[in-house]
Amino acid sequence: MIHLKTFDYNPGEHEREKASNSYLMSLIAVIAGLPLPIINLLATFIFYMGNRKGTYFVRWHCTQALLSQFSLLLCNSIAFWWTLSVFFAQREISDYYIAYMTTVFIFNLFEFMATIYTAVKTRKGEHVEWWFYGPLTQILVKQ
Amino acid sequence: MRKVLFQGTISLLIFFGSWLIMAQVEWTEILRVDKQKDETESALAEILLKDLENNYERINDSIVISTLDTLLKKLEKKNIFDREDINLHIFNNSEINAYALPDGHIVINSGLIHETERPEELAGVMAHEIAHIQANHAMKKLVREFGLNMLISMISGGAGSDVLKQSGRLLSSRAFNREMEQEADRLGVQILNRSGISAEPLADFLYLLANYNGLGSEALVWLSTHPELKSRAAYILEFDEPQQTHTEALIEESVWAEMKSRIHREVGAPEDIGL
Repeated sequence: MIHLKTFDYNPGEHEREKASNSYLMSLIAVIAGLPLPIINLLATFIFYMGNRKGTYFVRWHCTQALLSQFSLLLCNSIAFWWTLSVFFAQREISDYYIAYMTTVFIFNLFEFMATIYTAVKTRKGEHVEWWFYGPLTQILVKQ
Repeated sequence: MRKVLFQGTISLLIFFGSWLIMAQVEWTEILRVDKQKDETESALAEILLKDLENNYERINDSIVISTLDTLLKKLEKKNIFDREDINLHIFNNSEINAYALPDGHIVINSGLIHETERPEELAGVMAHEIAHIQANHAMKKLVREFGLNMLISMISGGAGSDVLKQSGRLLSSRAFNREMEQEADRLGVQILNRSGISAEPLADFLYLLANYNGLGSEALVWLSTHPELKSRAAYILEFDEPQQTHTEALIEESVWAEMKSRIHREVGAPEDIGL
């Protein structure tokens, strides 16, 4: 699911820090954004905008961090509105609801762990490509 | 690009696959969701009933209680509800009103019993309230108004007495929305018809209330979300199809007359309508 790969060049100290921060940004936002999932995306997007003219290594990792937030936003938004409808419209608490919340929690947890791992590795200048988001970022970010 | 599409599809399959597999587990059983829901409803009803008891006197007259109980048993006969699941409470309140509380409690005011002329009319009102219970309208209304969190904190004593008063008022007022009221009318007619009772007396009763002396025209039109009495009566008649009409009286005439006289002694002049 996560691959350590050799990047086209050896990124400098400043680049490593910025790239690593893009992941940390989404982590901080996860904590601050609960239970509003849009906050995570916004924080990562603002960081991306601030670094869109950065070096290739920085842009690449900012984009991967941002893309990973889109799918989380979708899953978490459904969970958020579904929960609201349970509490305020007395929609039934079904097996499907609990299963969905559990699945979303597990996916969030995986993403959380992957983000910490990637932030640490990126800080050391190692290039980490995620399943699906890595190849997608590769298409979107040009050198 | 093919790699992205392939990995994206696999990711989606893993997500939805995990969800569907996990949905096969009976979470609601394991987490006792229904039991907790029942406990919440029951605790809430207990609080609301206590509040009513603080404000109105209970009518414990054996003739009144047994007459209403007989009506309830007649409604139960061919219907899907269990008599044991319905709890009747009669309060000495001149307001012409009957309403459903959570957890299968029906409150009937003496003012309403006083106004009914035939047992079929009272049976009609009871069938309508049973329908509210079957569709769980009381709980839905409270959750919609206050949110589940507030109700839970009310049970645990965290919410103030204002919320308690508001929720009691909400259930006893005519604030059910049009859809809920129509659903209860429709289900109520089904309950009556299955028991071999025509809904015509209930419709007549609503017409009677609509023309009730002393009510201002503004009292005839319920809150904006509610169908007014005459249109409700017409709606009820649309669905009325008694399968096998009762040949014998629902309640013996002498018993009904005795019950009415006892209620008459208890109640003053009726002042408002709401059922």
